[in-house]
Amino acid sequence: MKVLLRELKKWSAPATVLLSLYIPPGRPVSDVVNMLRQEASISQNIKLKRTRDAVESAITTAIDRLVPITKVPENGLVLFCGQNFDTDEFKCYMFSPPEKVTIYFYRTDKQFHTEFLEDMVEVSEVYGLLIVERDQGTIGVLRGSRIEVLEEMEGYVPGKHMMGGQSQRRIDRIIEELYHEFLKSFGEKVNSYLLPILESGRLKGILLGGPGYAKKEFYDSDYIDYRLKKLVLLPLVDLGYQGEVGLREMVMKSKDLLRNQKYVEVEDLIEELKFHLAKDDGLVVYGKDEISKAMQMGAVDSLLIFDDGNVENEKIMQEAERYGTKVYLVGEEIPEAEWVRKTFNGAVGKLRFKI
Amino acid sequence: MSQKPHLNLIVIGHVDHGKSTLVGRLLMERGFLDEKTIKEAEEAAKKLGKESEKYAFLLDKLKEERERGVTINLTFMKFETKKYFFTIIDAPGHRDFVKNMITGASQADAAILAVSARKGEFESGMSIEGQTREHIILAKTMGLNQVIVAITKMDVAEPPYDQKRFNEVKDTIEKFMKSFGFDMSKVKFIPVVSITGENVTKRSENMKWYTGPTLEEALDMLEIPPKPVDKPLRLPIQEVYSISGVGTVPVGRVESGVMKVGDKIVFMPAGKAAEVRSIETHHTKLDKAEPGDNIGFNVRGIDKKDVKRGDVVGHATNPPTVADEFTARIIVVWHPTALAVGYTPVLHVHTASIACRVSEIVARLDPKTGKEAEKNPQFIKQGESAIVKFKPIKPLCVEKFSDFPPLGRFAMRDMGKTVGVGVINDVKPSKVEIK
Ligand SMILES: Nc1nc2c(ncn2[C@@H]2O[C@H](COP(=O)(O)OP(=O)(O)OP(=O)(O)O)[C@@H](O)[C@H]2O)c(=O)[nH]1
Ligand SMILES: [Mg+2]
Repeated sequence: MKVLLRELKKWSAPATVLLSLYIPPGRPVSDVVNMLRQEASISQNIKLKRTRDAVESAITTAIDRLVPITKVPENGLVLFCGQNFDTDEFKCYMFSPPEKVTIYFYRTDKQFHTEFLEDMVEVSEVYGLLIVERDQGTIGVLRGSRIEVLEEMEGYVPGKHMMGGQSQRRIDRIIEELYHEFLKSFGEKVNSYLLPILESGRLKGILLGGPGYAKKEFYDSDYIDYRLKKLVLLPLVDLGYQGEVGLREMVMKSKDLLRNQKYVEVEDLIEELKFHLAKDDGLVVYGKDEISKAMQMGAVDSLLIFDDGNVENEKIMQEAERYGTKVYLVGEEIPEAEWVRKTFNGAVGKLRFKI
Repeated sequence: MSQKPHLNLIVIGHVDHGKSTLVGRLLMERGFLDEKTIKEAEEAAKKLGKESEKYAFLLDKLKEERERGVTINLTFMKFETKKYFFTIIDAPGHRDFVKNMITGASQADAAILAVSARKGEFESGMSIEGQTREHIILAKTMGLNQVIVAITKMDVAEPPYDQKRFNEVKDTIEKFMKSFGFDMSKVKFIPVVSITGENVTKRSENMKWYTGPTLEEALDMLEIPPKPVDKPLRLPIQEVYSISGVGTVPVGRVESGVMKVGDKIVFMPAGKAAEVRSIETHHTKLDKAEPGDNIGFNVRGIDKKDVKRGDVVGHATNPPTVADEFTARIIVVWHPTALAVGYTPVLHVHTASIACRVSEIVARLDPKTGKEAEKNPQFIKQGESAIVKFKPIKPLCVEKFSDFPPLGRFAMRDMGKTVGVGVINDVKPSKVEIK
């Protein structure tokens, strides 16, 4: 992967002829092909014949590669196609990356857009996320700005409905046994998911939470590998829910332990934006012209941009760099992605002062 | 089973305010616990050096509950008064287990709210994070209009048995409940001491100033809610047991319609069809179950993996609706910033708790007139009311409130707090194949 990245980065062209395409899982291939066909017909308007031909062949090759595929694989698909003007060499790479593609991105440019792949290679820090209670558990990971649920488990430990009467003690014992059996099998699942990440040297820490005391019991007894246990960050987190919602809550409740994690910074920024919007104190800016004007005044502290390959956003990003504005580029992995996209046309910023 | 009319009664309130102790005392005084159970609880309490907690131990049976002195799971018990046959549900008060409390509340017809009069305890229950406050909101949301407020631990009020403290607690609770739409003429306040049984079944010698009914008398003043027997069957699942030799036994309360032995039913959202083999309540066999009946039933053709809490049973001829998306009128009761599209709280509808994404804010409503104030607002904030579309992130059964009220109202929770409540106006069904 790293080798491929280096190779791709070497490519550059004098005109916008290099095609980059990221397809997240779940996207129908036919939609993508239709989009490419449209792009192909638009490219007919390019005046320079050499450029026109190069773009056209990049797009048609991409279409040829995609058509036989019935379904986008679990981690999505990435395509890079184009002609090297120096050597006249034509290449097309298509592969499913090691981690999930979360954005839908298409562009023809003077270089290949490898930044989203670099993210996958570079974000080496992974946090394990575990929620456990008497009869349920969730295993997940935090990588960059993404929270992923790896497994949700159910233990079928009975409550107290059918109890009472003669066999109380026997039932109590059975329930306690089932409960510990559940913790044991949850621990085994945790090992199977997290040990490989640990062994690759990328597991930075583990958050452990859940309602009540099961998490403490799970932590105190040796249900997980000792090397994983050493990585559990304290305090354990009190939580009400399992699943993705529980994982998000756990990460936000532990944000002091997770400083500099993109996920936490983005979530904090979104909450701050909502806070200022609700207070209507004029500290939120959106609209391409308004953002640009505010940046030139040095007034924009941070900017949230939904990356859909929109060229306008690219411009804003370059400008941001000049004026010392922090930029967070987000994709569909953020729950509020659609809000940022629809309500603010893909870009919204927090101001340092009212203007 | 008793021929008396049946009521489901839940006991709610902030952690440690004396819910389990009150239920234990009530059942013991009325002779609804056998010798063996009482002895077992006494011995266990003694062994842990917690003799004062023996009444709570009658209900808190899990090892973890006894060691920590905290209720975790719902406990269902039966008992009778002069007039009624009750299924009493002891709920946990600890904030991490609010989800269990809501499941219980969704299955109840009436509630006892236990509020401690002890200095500091009452105050923390009514603080912004407190569960006295949260349980009141949730009880109302889940359709509980009949509430008896038991003001507990009067023996350790300052000074003990103080009428002024009773009034202070009563007034605060009364004001708060009123603001959430309770009809206060139906709500009774009773000062009790559970460990001595004062004003539980017999009058207190220490609180002669109180002339109202005892808790037991107040229970007989509750009303039986109407039974929608003519509507299609809807039975949300509260728990599933797998009993060796018996098979899979889902447990829940019939909300509408009638279920008979031999009926062809379906479990939604899975779309699993099955046949009812037997119906039971409190270890008594029934031929049919009606609205309000809390039952376990044995089914042919179902594995325990096919059913879970939050599923809804209906007849194969009129299966419960699985929502692809639904529209609701919500009120934001608490939120530090604002809610926008993409926000994904946990929704508690009947016994289900599923995260649902706000896919559209259709309109903000004028709080006074209820009319549309702004179309597609950017966000909504605390105190505001809005029409919102939700997309469940996992399959979920809901119905229009106008068709099936118990399946059409919900609470929204996030970051350990209740952020809002809502009522479903419209459901876009998703197609589910019956297997
Ligand atoms: N002095 C006094 N103590 C009481 C009374 N009622 C309960 N307690 C004590 O208060 C503590 C908590 O009682 P529980 O009945 O376990 O409280 P709970 O509301 O069921 O608690 P959770 O289920 O965990 O929310 C125990 O130590 C009881 O002995 C009372 O009337 N007077
Ligand atoms: Mg209790």
